[in-house]
Amino acid sequence: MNSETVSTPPTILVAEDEALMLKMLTHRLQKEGYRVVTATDGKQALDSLRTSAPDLVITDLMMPYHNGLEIIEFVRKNLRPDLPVIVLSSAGQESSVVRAFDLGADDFAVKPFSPNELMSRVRKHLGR
Amino acid sequence: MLNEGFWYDLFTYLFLGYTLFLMGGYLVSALVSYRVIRQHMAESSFVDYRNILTSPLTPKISIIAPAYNEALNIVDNAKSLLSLEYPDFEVVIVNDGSKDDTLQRLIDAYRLEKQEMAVPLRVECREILGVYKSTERAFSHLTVVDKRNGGKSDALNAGINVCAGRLIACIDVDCVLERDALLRMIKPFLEETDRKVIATGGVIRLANDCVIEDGRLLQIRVPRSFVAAAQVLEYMRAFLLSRVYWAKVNGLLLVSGALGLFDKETVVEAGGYSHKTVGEDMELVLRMRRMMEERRQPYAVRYIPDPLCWTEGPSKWEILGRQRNRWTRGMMDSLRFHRKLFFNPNYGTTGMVSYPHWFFYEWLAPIVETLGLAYCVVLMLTGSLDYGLFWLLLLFVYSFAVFLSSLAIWVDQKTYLQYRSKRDLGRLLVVALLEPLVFHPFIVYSAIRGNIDYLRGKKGWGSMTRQGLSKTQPTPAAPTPTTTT
Amino acid sequence: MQSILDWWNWTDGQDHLYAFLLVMAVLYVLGTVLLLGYIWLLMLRRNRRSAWSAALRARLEDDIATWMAGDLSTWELSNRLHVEVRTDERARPILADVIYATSKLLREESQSQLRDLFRQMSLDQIVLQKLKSIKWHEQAYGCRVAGQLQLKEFLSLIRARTRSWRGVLRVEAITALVAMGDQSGLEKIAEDNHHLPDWEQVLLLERFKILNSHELPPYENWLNSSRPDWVLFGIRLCRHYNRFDKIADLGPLLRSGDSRVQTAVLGTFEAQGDPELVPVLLDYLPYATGGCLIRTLNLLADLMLRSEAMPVLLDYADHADPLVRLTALEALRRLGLPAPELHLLTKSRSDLALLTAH
Repeated sequence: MNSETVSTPPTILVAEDEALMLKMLTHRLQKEGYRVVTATDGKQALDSLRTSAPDLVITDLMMPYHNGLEIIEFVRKNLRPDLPVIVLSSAGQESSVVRAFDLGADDFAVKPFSPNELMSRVRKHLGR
Repeated sequence: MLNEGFWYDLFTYLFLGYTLFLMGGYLVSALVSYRVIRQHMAESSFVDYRNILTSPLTPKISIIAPAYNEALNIVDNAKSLLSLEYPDFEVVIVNDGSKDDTLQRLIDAYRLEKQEMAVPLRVECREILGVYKSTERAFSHLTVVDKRNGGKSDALNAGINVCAGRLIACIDVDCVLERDALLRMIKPFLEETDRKVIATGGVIRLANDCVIEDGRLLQIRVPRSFVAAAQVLEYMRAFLLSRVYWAKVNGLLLVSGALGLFDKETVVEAGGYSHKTVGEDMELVLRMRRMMEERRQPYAVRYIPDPLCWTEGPSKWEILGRQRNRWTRGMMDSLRFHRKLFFNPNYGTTGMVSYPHWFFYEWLAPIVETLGLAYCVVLMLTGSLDYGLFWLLLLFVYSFAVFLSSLAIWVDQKTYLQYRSKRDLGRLLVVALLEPLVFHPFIVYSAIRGNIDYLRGKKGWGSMTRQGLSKTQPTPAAPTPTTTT
Repeated sequence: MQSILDWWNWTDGQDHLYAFLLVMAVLYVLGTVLLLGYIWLLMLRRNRRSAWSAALRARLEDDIATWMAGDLSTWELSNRLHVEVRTDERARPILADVIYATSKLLREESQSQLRDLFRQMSLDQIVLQKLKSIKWHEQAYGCRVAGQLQLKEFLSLIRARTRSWRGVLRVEAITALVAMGDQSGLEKIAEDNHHLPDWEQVLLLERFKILNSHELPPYENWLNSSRPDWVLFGIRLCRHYNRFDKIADLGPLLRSGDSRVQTAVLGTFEAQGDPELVPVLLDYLPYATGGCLIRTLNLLADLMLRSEAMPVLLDYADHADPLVRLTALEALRRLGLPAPELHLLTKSRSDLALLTAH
């Protein structure tokens, strides 16, 4: 994968309230060799953002407590402004996706999604 | 001896028959309502209302909210209404000649501009001074109507004249609506093919002591004060056990003024809201039904059992009393204006079932109770009261009341599950035990006062002051069945 | 029993009354206690939640997710699942639901392995059971799963469900047919079914929106149906999918007699805004009433040349219906008729309030 063998694998925060989706993403990301931190709602997501230092964030747009848009805002204001954020949306949420981009999201994936495609987007944004 | 003989027996058995009929009716109603709610929930589980948010096939809804001296909260309330989720709707706020700066606050907050336009005066209303729309695209669905003061009915009528929707949602401006309330309420209008749905009612729940933030309900609790908690129980009984049944048999006469969705053309053809009564919501539905019956057109008044609207109920006895007094007077107006329907087979279910029900139970029940009690007092004073019978009757009626309340709580647990915590349920139970002894007599008393005031010709609302959404002042909510016996 | 009858015969009316009241009161109290006990049980059950099924579901989701990621071979997964199902038959429907939910999340390329797994575990039998159940919501669920997992062997069962009287079931069945690409069944649908209420059209349109164009049902053919509801739906779909090539077919539908169909056609014309529609509209104008008349007037005002539109609108400025008059006046105002002339037209009318911006 990369030539610097001593560096730790990148950490990815996945915020998704649907358990099955979360598991699918987690297992696939772990298979690709990333370290995964999970959050099942907005509150947990914000906590994890503060405590762990993810290299990339994948967040659903609709979650309890704080939705994806608020997560993006938090990341852009309080963490690294260049931290890559990928949003997951369902069909018919185009307006939310547009808002997400306005707030600074880097990429998006629509459900139903393609795991391979998502992985390539992750790789791209992590610069590998 | 006064406790023997023909009249005594007659009164006793009449009273008993009346009570038994009422009880049987309530039990049937509860059973049917429960089943209908379960069906509705099963059907709803196959519909993802969020998906319909962008549907181009949904009819345009105009939300009409009359406002009088609401300067304190009007901008917040407007914001809450504007952010409802529905593909195509407009919010029409009618400033009913407020003496404070309600209008100016709206103009400032939403950058409103007076429009040049022609307004068809299809229903009667006092002079419209101006119609304002926002210059900002984000608020393009807001319309504010300024008019001379004329009362709630008049303001609603002005809104009807100005609005452009096919359906009109008449609401109280400081109610909190669920985000998808409109999406859920249009279902009956769109799914019935052999009848025309002319109105749909929704469930009103009390938000006293609940946590409201930004126009959304964050936490639901049973209120601490007994008055408010008793009303919660009363609303639960009415909305879970009764209204659903009436809608199912197409006999629903009452669509709450706090949340109702109407077919605009039918409202206009019926003449709009009446200026002559304080119970304008019930009177309108009754008049619309009457019109459809007279035209021999198949129609329906339906009901969505989902809790969609939250409002503040009176938390002080005095204000509650005034509210119930007003409801009684409004109901008597509706009954009087349309007395032609009484047991009139020309008017179908409305005339043969709904109207008599309201006449004999909703109106007469407090009177019967009071007369019964008075009779007992007379008997007691003359020493001829059969104490055994008296206490047994009381026990009979009390146990039924508690049973009915438990039934309402049970239905809530099996369906919408609004109250989950042990503390809430405990409180409801305590209230259920105390209510027939403390709350109910007060309600009966207020209803009798309402009757007396009506006969003396009193009109109008009395003073209702606003203190903001989270403070407890009453909102003009609509009459609900007041009796459990 | 006998002793009760004896007692009844020996006592008088008053005692009967007492007994009756007492019995009723006791029944009510008993009823209350039972209800409260039930509520208490419900609370307990909720708190403990069906621990078994939740745990099973979590295990199944983990296994499937690991397998989809590639960390578990199909053979191993199969073994694990067989073990679960053998331990408890109730695991089967839950497994079916998990695979269905997974399938919904993923796009086409991942579907075939899920479908193979589904059949391998004989879960299509579960779907058959659901489709044949007497409960409508189980049938609806069966339709959903069949549609998602492309279980084409159940096509005839699902076609039968499209004729159900229950709207929700109809919608699910039609959606399943569309998902399975049953074009011939969908063509026949517009003749077999009497009704398609607006509510169902709303739901169906939303489901069609997420499909690709080649997956859509043959809605152009529905325009020729004898059932007005389906004609209406066909028109709406044409409008939604911008099938302006079909405009020529829509013109004759204006004279169909069903006001909803007319309204939908006018809506399509409004979306298209082609001046070539003017002759069609002028032909229709004398027959238009109510809301359709209003929309036709507005359309003509927008599409016709000013000089040609004015005389037509002036005709209607005197119409019996106040809304029609209002429409004509507003249109004339838009076309630039000067204010004094407008006021002249409305002078004698008391049912219009002419508001000015001053």
